[in-house]
Amino acid sequence: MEKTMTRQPQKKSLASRFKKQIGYQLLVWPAIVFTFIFSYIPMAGIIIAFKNYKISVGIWESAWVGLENFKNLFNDFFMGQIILNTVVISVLGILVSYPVVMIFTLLLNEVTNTAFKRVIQTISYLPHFISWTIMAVILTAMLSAHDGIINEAMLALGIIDSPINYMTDPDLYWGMVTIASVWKELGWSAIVYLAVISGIDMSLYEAAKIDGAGRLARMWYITLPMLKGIIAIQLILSFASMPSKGFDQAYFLANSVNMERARTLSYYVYNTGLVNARFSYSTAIGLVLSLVSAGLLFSANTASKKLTGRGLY
Amino acid sequence: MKLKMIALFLAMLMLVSVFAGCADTTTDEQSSEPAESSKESSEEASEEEGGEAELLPNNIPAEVLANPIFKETPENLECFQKTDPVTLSVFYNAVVADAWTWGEDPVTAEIQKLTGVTIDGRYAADSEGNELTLMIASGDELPDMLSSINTTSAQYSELVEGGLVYPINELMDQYAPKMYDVLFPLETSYYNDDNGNFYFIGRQAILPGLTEYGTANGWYAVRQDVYEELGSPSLSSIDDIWNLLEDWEASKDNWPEIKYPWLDPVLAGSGNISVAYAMLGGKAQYSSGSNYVYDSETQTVKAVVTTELGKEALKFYYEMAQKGYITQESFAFTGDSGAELSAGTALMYAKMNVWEVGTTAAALAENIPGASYSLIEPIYAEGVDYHYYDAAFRASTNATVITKNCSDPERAILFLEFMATEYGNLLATAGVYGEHWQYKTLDNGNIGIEYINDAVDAAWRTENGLYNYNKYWFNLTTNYDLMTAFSAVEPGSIKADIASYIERNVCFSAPNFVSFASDSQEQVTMTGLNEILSTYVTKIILSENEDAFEANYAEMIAALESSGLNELTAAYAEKCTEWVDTLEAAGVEFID
Repeated sequence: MEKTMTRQPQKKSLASRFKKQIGYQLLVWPAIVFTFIFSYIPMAGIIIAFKNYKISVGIWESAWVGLENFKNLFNDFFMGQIILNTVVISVLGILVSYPVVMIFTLLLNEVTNTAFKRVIQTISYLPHFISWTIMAVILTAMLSAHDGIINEAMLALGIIDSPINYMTDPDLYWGMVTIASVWKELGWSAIVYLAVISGIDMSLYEAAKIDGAGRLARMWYITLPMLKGIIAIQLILSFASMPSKGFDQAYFLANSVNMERARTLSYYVYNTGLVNARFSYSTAIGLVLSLVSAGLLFSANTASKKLTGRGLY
Repeated sequence: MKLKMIALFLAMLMLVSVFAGCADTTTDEQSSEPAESSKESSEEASEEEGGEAELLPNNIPAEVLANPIFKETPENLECFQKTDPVTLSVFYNAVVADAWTWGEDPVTAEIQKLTGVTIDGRYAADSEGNELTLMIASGDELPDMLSSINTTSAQYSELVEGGLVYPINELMDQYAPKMYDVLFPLETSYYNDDNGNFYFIGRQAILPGLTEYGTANGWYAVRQDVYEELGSPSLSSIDDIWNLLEDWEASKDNWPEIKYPWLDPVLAGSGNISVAYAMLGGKAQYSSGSNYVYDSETQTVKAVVTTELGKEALKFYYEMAQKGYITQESFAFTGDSGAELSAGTALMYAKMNVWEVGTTAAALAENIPGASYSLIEPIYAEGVDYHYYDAAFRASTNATVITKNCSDPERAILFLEFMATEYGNLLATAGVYGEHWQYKTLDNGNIGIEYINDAVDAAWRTENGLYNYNKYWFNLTTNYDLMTAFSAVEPGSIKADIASYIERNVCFSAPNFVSFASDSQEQVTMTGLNEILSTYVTKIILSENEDAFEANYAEMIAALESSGLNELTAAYAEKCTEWVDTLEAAGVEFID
């Protein structure tokens, strides 16, 4: 009987593996170093949240105050409204943007004229590159009560009798920033989904066509299920970033009239820390914000895995 | 191999981009080219001259020395002993529409000639103050001087407690002892800490009894062309204001660009109700004054909005809003008065120092031919002696400090010494003697000032470098604010009145002078209360109806009290009383 010789795989040393992957290693290590220097090392600054930090004294010499700043956080007069604003703006953003982006993506995918499709895609993602500074100017020009285009048009058409204060009415703030955000990010968000759609095997569509499935049926039974994974990932990331939403909008669009609806957690951190120089308190808020984000990320990931079988990790 | 080379190239590119943000960012487009000079060169120059500089006589024009209006100028001031060129960097913690280019106008050229100082100024990019915070927190070298500093702010506390600024008295003792004679009596004692040190020179404009027009250039401005078309009615009472607004409303289609019948930037920005409060009879320190008043009889402090008069002021604004004269949109006003005044969008502009009127006149005339803004005499309640109320005492919010990074603290204090002199004041506010203004004898026999040029207007003053409020905030005792608005003034004998202004207005000067440590619970509470005030004042004024007004007002009171108002006012009262007692022991006689 002949003995079969099987060759055992040789265990490669770390050095040899590194050498083999040198190209990829060179690409990834600057990012790792960057992340370590600018994201991990500064984490030591969290200690400020537990101290009465004074610039003149320095971080290490400042007096410990324990959980005093966190107590102030929960006793803060504005905190309830701030949390409500943050949650509402984030949830509204998710509830409105996802359906809109999906519908836009699916419709764009059905366009057969490639050139036209590219034009629409380009036009749709251009607003992503407009900063909120410019966005605020555009919104003011469009929505101003005195001479905004929207009010002028609505008055001319007889839809309204007097101008609507879009820019100042607190009741309209959430809607305004949600719609503006969706408009701004619609095209850019669609790119991710279009990329996934482009990877779907065309034979599935052909087979469905042969079986008599119409456009809508193909969308419902092929395209959407294929997008389930990426939608889950995007949702997880959206939930995790909820606590930090709303800063740009608040910074550029808030005023003394709508501030009670505009003030979000991230804006409050900025205002407290940099404007009022209450570094310890703002660090405490920021720490709570980060912990909530981490909690949301974990929860959303767990939920996604249970519901769809997919998760970030 | 090719992949490795591409990977290496990309990696290097990423590495370079990581450090791109670490570049030096000290360049500034707004600052002028600083003259090349240093303390070493001035010392070299004096060495070349053969030792210590000769004591020079004052370079102030003889006529000015002979005819002082406000105060005598001591002879042989230290600031004239060193006049070699030096550049001092200054950061102004304020947003300015048009940047200052030192040396390019007659006034700053004259200051430069007399003192040798070139100011390399930089202004804040936004009005939130975070630039100063970042400057302090970053540990980077601070400019030679910081100006427009709010002395009740956390930033100021950090500067002092962190040892980042010089005690001014120490610099005066060492380099400019005659400066004590230049500053007004008690001016250097109002802000002393327990060690007797004070760290800033405040900007003060004390003008009691100088003119019936009160402060700098009135409390508000009106669209002059519209005002004339409406018949130039009297504007000396609150009823007159209502009448003007009603007349405008009847024919407002003639001026479609007016979207703010009543624009009150301070109200919009910080919920400060002092314009209406003063009109109704309250002693209000306008602009960025305290939201609190001190009662020396009961030794208590109250938030202005919680007083009867405060509520009346809110009611006045509410009624304005009900009639559409204060619009919701006006509360979105972020403070860029220049843009609004250039576009002529306000009928009445209720801001206490309307310097923007002058700087935007040309733009407005270009945008709307024939349009202009004129200044209006402040309105006070009947029977109120406004001469003592209208003075602008902005010491607590417009302070200048000399940082420990100052390249030449001696020249910095000498420069401030010069600017505090009568001539320094006059240069900044009236211009160059003999070129812009001259003395005249008034009917009452006092010495007054008049402009030489008949065509004095705001644009002319800007062009000639005359007292631009925003650019002279390191200017000390600006007794000549009114010069910029009116070509002829008739000051009475006010020397005795100046120092007594504080005594006459302890109700708001006390809360203004007294401050809490930045990390104290009181300061934290005050910051929170100010936010509540700002939010609720807007809400109350924009209430839908009377019931909503009352409900919102009650809600505000409840919010303030639940956020520590009572504890704060108790602590505030204690400190104010202590401050009053200290000054009374030093000989100050308070009258309220």
